[in-house]
Amino acid sequence: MSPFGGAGGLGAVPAGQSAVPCFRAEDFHLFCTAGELLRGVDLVVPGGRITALIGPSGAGKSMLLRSLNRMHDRVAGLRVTGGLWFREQEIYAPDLDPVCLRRRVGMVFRQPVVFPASIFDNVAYGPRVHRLELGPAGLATRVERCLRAAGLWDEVRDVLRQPAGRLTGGQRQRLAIARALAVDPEVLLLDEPTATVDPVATARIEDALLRLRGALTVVVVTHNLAQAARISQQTVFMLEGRVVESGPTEVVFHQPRDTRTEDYLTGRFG
Amino acid sequence: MIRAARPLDRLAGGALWVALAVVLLPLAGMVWLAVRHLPAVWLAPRGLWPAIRGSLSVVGVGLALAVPAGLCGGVWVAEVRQGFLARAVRLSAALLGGASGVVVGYAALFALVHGFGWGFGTAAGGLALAAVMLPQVVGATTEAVAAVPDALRDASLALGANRRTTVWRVVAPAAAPRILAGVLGAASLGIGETAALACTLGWTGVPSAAGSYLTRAVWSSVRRPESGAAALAVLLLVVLALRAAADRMGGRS
Repeated sequence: MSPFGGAGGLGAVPAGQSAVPCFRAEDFHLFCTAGELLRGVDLVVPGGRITALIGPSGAGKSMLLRSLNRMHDRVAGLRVTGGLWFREQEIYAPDLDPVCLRRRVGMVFRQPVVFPASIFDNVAYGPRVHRLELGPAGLATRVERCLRAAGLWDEVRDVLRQPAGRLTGGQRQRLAIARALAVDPEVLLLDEPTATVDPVATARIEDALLRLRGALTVVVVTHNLAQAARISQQTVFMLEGRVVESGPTEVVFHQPRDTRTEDYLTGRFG
Repeated sequence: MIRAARPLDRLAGGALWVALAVVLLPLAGMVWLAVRHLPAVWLAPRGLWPAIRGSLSVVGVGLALAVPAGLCGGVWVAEVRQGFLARAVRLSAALLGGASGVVVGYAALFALVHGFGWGFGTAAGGLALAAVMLPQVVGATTEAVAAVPDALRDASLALGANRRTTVWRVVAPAAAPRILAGVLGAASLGIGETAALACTLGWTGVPSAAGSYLTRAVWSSVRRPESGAAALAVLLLVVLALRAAADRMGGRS
């Protein structure tokens, strides 16, 4: 039986008002054949807000992010110790079905990915795969709502049946966000979503994320400190596989407790 | 076009033209022969139509058997990649691919035509051709599926799709142009197959053999060169068309 199976399960708690944090990590280690990639992460991610994961390359930000919906499962020699929870569910519990977890915890990748299908079919992929009983009209409504939420609707409303491969990089990334939203996740994980797009597209993606705030929990990995300051309410600074400091964004940016955080933010390394 | 900047480049460019001439001049000659003797070549009862029909039906049967099996096998091998069964499938495909047509044909003659008593005909021919084409389809499918970026798989898995759904709804469509190219390549191989068909559809001198096919029309018309030339021209043009289509398909993914 799936830990997410029951109707009155954990999903009944609204994302914004829960006393239980959305994600929690306690001395979480992650090993693969290349070595120890996360070296004891302690972390609390509150629900309903935008949390930014910052830090230099190799700090383990993407590793941690991908652990949150078990995208590492295919990595050879993967082993984890310590605790990592999504609400009250242990993410690496042996009886947890990653498919159920990923439906509630969506992910958008650094490189925009479109499926070889129409724009409409890209967004409708999730609802169709999960056999959500929406009906044709309901599906169309859902696709429109998600494209609006991702800030892409006005650009694609007349070309929904055309191949998604014709979209620009920035549009593709917003399509990926819309596609992730279409299964009604509680959390959206984004791994450097604006790393490969131009500034105008970046602004559009940031607007979309800000609109989502409150409705769902967003965790975004970014190398762009200004972006973290612009959109996040919580900031987590990582270094060498550990969390150095985390807290409200303005506190971390203006009164960091750790000198390493200050050094990174002022550009002394990274 | 070819720009000969250095002597080596010029040599390579020249060799390319020579190779092209070696292929195209005889082809042009054969087409000319076939066109000049048009009525003799095309009119029944000794015309080419039975051979063309025979080739098409036997390739059709072969594809109908080889494509579903090769598709499933190739996708499975590419997605699983390890384990005893995957290794076994890869090894058998390699073995079958390394066997020349005459080996496959002799096995079919021994087992199907005589052993099971099917006799010479499209059934035995189709099955033999399927054995010739299967490794091509498996190989093309494996390569096409392996060439699909993992990012595409991850994006599907991240939406909560399981492995099987991901393979059939995302990976397979993404690999489809290359797979189709492989199938067209297999078809052109089947059209040109000689030994496997000779053993299963019959060769000149087998009294009970009724099956006609293009490659047979080529070698059995030594006394009427225009007929053989026409058969060969048709054969080469079909192969050329299939290969060109396969190239276009493969380049589109």
